Amino acid sequence: MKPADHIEQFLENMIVTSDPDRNSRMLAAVLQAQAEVNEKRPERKNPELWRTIMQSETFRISAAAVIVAAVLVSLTVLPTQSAYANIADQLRQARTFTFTWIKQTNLQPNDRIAVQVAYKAPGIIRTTTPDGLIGINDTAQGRMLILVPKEQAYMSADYKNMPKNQPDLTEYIRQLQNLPAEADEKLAPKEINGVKAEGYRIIKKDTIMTLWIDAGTQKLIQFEQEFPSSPGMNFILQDIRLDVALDDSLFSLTPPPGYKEVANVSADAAEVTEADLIAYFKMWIDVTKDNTFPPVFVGPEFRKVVMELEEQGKFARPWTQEDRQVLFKGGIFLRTIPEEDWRYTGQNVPFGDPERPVFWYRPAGSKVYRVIYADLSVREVTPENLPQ
Amino acid sequence: MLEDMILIWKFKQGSADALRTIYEKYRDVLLAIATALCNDIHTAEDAVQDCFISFARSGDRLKLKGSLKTYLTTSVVNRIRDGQRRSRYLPGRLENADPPASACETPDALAIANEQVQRVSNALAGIDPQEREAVVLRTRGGMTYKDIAYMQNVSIPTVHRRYRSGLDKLRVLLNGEADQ
Repeated sequence: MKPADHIEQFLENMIVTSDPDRNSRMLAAVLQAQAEVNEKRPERKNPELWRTIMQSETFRISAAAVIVAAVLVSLTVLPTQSAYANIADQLRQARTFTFTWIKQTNLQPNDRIAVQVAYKAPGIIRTTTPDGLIGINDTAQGRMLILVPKEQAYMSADYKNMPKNQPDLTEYIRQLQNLPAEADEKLAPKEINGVKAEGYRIIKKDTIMTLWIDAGTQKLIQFEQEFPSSPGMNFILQDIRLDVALDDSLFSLTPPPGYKEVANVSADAAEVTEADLIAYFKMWIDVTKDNTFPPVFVGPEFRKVVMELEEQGKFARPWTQEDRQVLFKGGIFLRTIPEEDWRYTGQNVPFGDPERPVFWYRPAGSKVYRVIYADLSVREVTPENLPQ
Repeated sequence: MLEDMILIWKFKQGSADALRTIYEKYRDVLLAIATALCNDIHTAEDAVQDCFISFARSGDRLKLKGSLKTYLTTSVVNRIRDGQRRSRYLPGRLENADPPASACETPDALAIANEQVQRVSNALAGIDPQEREAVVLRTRGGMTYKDIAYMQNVSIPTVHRRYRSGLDKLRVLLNGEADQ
């Protein structure tokens, strides 16, 4: 049988196996990971096999299961949610927060970013990365200051007319301040850093949030976010403090004395255009030795990737003030497009192929998409003819 | 389905046997999917191992909304995507890796099957990544168009189009290779 003749059947039956030694090592590593988790967790009680089964979609649609579930629910003593309700209320009313924000993808051992965050209502955020980079963002004023203490340098940025409801740290804090009055599930207690914690879970469409509250002091000690569509990736908030006194100087947008300015960028979200995005790509292509498109386009990984590329010597020259301005405006343009209306496929693609799409987006109110190709040409494409 | 639910329940209680059973039940299909997506058995093995280690660490925090198979498949696919985005699992040529084994019993049949797997894998590496995903997840992964659409964040008709287009291109590539 030739694969081309029965490609679907061939793929369905395609078998790939590891050599036995490799397979044994893989399984051992997996079991070891579980053993480490088991060591840390407290004894479980009250096995909930039937609850697990009853929660599945298949059984939920069964009338019999629904009846049994109703009986089970009626027999269950609903846990008190007063601890959770108090925390949700405290978060809602808090004027300041400090916490450590951890993002991890679980792809590799060091694929984890921990950022110290201080927030002050109505919308000033100070972030400090492990490499010492400090960012102060006043969302009300539309001003941002980035400090690099070890180089005694700073970059300032002004922006205006930013669209609302874009995913950023402010939005993340907004979610934290708008938790529902009741959690969906109370979890079995567990120990976190030697502290017995009560767990509460809230399930939204694309996010699972878990709060861990100190059983003794009733304070929030950990907040977790997981994303079912991206298994393995999660955000964790630790060292959470509410309504702490934060000195105004922490949020000052005036650079400390002695710091030198390396860039001063600005953008008006109402004025940036597609040309700014193309300029972004062109700048990146020019600055990289192999003239390729960026491996990561936006998001918290961007800076990390830039640093990795710098360490690998991938850039042909140092970044200039003009480069940073171009980067900033291109990034702001992207923030004007709803996330579901654009797509980037240019990761590490070499510059030049006029048939290779690298980015497309739908301008507001438009029925057609604008597609940018690897030679930076642009064409309009109807939705049904978008690149697959 | 019920078997998986019991396995998950035991796994959440910390059972190593349940984890071992889950691993052995889904390892091969995940490895086949990962290999077809990245065309390199070593990086596919890494992705599958990463997926299971992450799964093992999830412990009693694990919360499934769909089937276990879809959950694990999504996890592997995301790892392959992330790796490719960060140039970790760039689609390679299978010739650079050890040939994948097949279930054939005789050496001749094994050689033919390996050659065919290699040709198909190389052809898969030549088509668009989204189409490749749609074809592999639908055929070898046995996933529904709806699940694939959710995973790719597109509509079901788009997935269907990617699937058909991907298959057509594969046929062209494989026939073209045969004609040479």
